[in-house]
Amino acid sequence: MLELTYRAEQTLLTCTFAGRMDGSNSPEADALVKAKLAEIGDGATVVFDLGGVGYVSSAFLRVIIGAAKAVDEAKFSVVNCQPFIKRLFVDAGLDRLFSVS
Amino acid sequence: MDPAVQARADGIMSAATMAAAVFSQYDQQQVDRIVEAVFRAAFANRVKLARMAHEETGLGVWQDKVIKNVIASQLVYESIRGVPTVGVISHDEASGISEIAEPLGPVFAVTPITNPTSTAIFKILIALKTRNPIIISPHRRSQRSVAETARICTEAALAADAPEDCIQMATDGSRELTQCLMSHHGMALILATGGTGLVTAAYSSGTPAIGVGPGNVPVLIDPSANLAYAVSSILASKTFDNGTVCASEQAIVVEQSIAGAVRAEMQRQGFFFLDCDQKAKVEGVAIDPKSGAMSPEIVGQSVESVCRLAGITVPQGTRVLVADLAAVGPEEPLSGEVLAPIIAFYVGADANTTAKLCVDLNYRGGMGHTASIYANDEQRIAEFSGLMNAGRVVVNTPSTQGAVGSLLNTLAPSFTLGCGSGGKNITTENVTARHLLNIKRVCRKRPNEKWHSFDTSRYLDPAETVDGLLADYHSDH
Repeated sequence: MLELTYRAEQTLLTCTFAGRMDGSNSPEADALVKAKLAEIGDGATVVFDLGGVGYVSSAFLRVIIGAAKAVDEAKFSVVNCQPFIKRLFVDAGLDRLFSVS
Repeated sequence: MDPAVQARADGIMSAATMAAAVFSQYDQQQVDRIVEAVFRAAFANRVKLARMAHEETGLGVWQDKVIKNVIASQLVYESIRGVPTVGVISHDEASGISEIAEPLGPVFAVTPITNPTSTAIFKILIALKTRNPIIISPHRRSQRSVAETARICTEAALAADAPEDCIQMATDGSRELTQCLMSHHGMALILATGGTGLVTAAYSSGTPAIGVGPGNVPVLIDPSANLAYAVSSILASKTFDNGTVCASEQAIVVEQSIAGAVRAEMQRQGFFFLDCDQKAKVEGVAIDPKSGAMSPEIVGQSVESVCRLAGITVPQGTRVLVADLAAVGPEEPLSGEVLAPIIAFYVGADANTTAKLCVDLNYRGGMGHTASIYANDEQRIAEFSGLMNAGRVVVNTPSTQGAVGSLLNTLAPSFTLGCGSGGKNITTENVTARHLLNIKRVCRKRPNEKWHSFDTSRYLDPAETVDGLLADYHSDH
């Protein structure tokens, strides 16, 4: 089940995820994020808040990378990671592509 | 570097790195579920994969390749099933040390033409058990069967919820891609099983490597041995998969006092001693005159094929061809490793001479690998074991089945046999899952009381004697 809330303030889209982000809910998350970005149009800045996420699958990593690429990696960030999720991003080298905190 | 090759390597590594990151979240139960699923799938396909490997490579005996697949799946699985590989794997209150197992990261696995599907199954199982993604690079003449092995294992792994891309193939057949992946900054370890060139390339890549190359296994039949048993055991080993296993016997060494009896027993059991002319012909097809190494055409061929290639005729029922040799070295090309049913035969005047022959054979391309002895004299077994530069000395055991482990002894079942410093390896052990872990040690404070109760300023005084310092350091404890 997807646990996603989002807040759009002008060009800033904040997506707050919770629970287990795996192959069962990542496609839905992907579709929702894409739809919101389409609504905002050019110049969007995206923040993924992973404070409540306890597991990240390959599928969700693809959602994250896709969103980062869609908006320009400088305008994309992942925030509120639990420490082991932060290490996961570092191990994957994704902290070199966008901000992870 | 060709940009296209670099891009392909980067793509593979990017996917592997993501898989490694995702895998790092898995707990022991999840890992064990994946490993069991992969074992079951590989085991269920043991015959199909063996037949594919045999048909594709033209090497060995398909029935023996089934057994190899069984060892690589069932026996490897059973040996690692209960081994903790995730999180805290041990805690010792007395020493204050806890060990935490962590994955290494992406592993590059090179598989040989001689044991393609079995080595792939083995490496996949130990990689997944340790949460390491694996990238498999098969010998170019076994790509189809290894790709099918990987496909079967991947399907099972993903169905058990393994991370995507935890098993990948690097199969474009280009040496450039292999080298690029080996030296890629994201690669954590190379598990290289293959020829000398490949193992050297692995070690030269700058990435940590466990590379296992050739052997040249001497087998000493001591006068104390049960000769008939020794001969039958060597026969079972040397003919297994037409001698493709690098731990198979390459030269039989006996003392003059039993040479006649051993020779007669060998002839009785299907060994055929080549005459001078036949020996020269077999040598001509078995050894590449330029490199002095075994010719690829001969590897894993049956006696019939070898004889056809060499243009010789031998009695029907011959199982192994035997070359009487007097020396060890380039002047006797068959004194090196030949992975086919061809074996050298040496006779030494006495125990010292046979021991020295074994040393020479061991050091002619087989350092660190395997040595074999048949004896019922513990003193002789101890002397021989002390002499050999080998990761494993198998006693009264067919060396193929013995070295691979778990069938006839309690060595870990493995298709990557560590050869220690003799083979430029970091380990002499049979490589298994625990070699693919970073073990982190959490060290609780356990002060060294001797150190803390000793006046360490005395170390600064050059007049203090060694014995005086040691006596006082250890006193009152």
